[in-house]
Amino acid sequence: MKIAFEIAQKKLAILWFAFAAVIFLLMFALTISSKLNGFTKEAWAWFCQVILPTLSIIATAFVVNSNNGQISDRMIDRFSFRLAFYLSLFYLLVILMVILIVPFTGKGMVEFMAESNLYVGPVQAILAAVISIFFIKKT
Amino acid sequence: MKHNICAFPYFIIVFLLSLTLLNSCSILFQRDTDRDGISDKSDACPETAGSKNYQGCPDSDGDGVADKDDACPDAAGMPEFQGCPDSDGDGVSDSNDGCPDAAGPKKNNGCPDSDGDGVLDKDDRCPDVKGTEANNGCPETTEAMIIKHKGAFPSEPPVASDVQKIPNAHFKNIKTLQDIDTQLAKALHKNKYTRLSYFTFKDGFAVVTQMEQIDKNAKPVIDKYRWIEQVQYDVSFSLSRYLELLFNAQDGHYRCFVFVVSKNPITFSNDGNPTKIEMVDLPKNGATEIDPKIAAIKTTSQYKVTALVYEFIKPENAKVASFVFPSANQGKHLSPIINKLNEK
Repeated sequence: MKIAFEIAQKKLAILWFAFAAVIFLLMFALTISSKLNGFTKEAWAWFCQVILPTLSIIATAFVVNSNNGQISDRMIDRFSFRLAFYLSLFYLLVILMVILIVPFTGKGMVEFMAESNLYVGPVQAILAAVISIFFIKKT
Repeated sequence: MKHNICAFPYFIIVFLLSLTLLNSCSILFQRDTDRDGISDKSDACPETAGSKNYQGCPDSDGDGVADKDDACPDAAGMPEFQGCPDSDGDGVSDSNDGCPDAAGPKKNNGCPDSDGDGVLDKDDRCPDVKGTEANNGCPETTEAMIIKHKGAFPSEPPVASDVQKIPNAHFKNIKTLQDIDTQLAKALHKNKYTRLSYFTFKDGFAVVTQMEQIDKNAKPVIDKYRWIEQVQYDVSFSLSRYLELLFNAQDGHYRCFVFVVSKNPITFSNDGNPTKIEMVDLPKNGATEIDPKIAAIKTTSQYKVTALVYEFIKPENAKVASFVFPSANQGKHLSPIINKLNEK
């Protein structure tokens, strides 16, 4: 079972850009509120660390493939696409939850973000590998 | 025979060579257990390798005293102290010196007694002021003395976030300091300050309450969080409360009171701001009740009750709480306590 690479790539890009935009807006709201008082840099450093690396891979690949005229002919294994898509969805939901769940934890926002690196890091590493495979595997 | 006479010198030479060889062999086969090049017979320490200078004994610390004669073989010292050092140069070697880092006379076992009161500095709570042995080297307490020790509140307390006087009119039928304490303690208990800590203070006393958590309006938070550091975060099923917790920093506000009963005015120390840890620990040094001698003191109109409020804030993402000066709620802290004082 194969799927057109162009469609798969678009779906993945939409997912990432949509979530990145929502998380960015949430971070911006936290910045202009009093929540991050004195710790804005630390909070945005966390955001850049968890979102930008993978988003950069997707954006770069998207631009490179858009300039390639033969992209519409290429296909990708559906499993590779689903794996990349659902793992991305899971990862982005975790990132979103890290922010939204803070009021229930009794911990400081920045403290909780720093703690989240423990479990977000490994997922991010696996995700980077899966997405790289997705872009390489196209035929 | 001629042959024998001619061979004689050769026998002599062979004999001498044999003697030399035997002598060499005897040197070779002399026992040297520690292999330091000195035979066991001449070695004062045959089982420990050493140098010729010390008759085959080692000198681990290199102080010129062989280990066998060195009372401190691992610390370089002087021959007059059997190889032991004298760090403070007071003529008493460190091994016999009760205070190896502070010079002192031999009669005091090498310990100093700066004020010459017979109580060594190390045991002297007031090393610069003459005192009595019974009072740990401090002079017997007088009203004006500033002695920081267990049970005595600093006569110059650290600067407070807020200072509020409680007029004597709030206390009824007071004859002794005990009466003030009874009424004050009752009002505090009604406000759930159950752990009170008593200190002597100049001519009166001081009562310290335990650290409590308050909200930004100086009102105590709910009991579940009042006496702990954890900031209140319970989310009732309300979107507005959730959003408030999500977008507003949940700073921790903390406070403790020190009620000072004295006829002397209070002056504050210039030693810097108090820390929350210091104020949390303060009640540990106090007594559970007022000193009976102080309680029996008859009150006059000169006795005043002053409340010192120490307030701290821990911003949501900070690790340490900082002292608040001045308090944003000047004059508001005492309202509930004064209300209870006024109750019949």
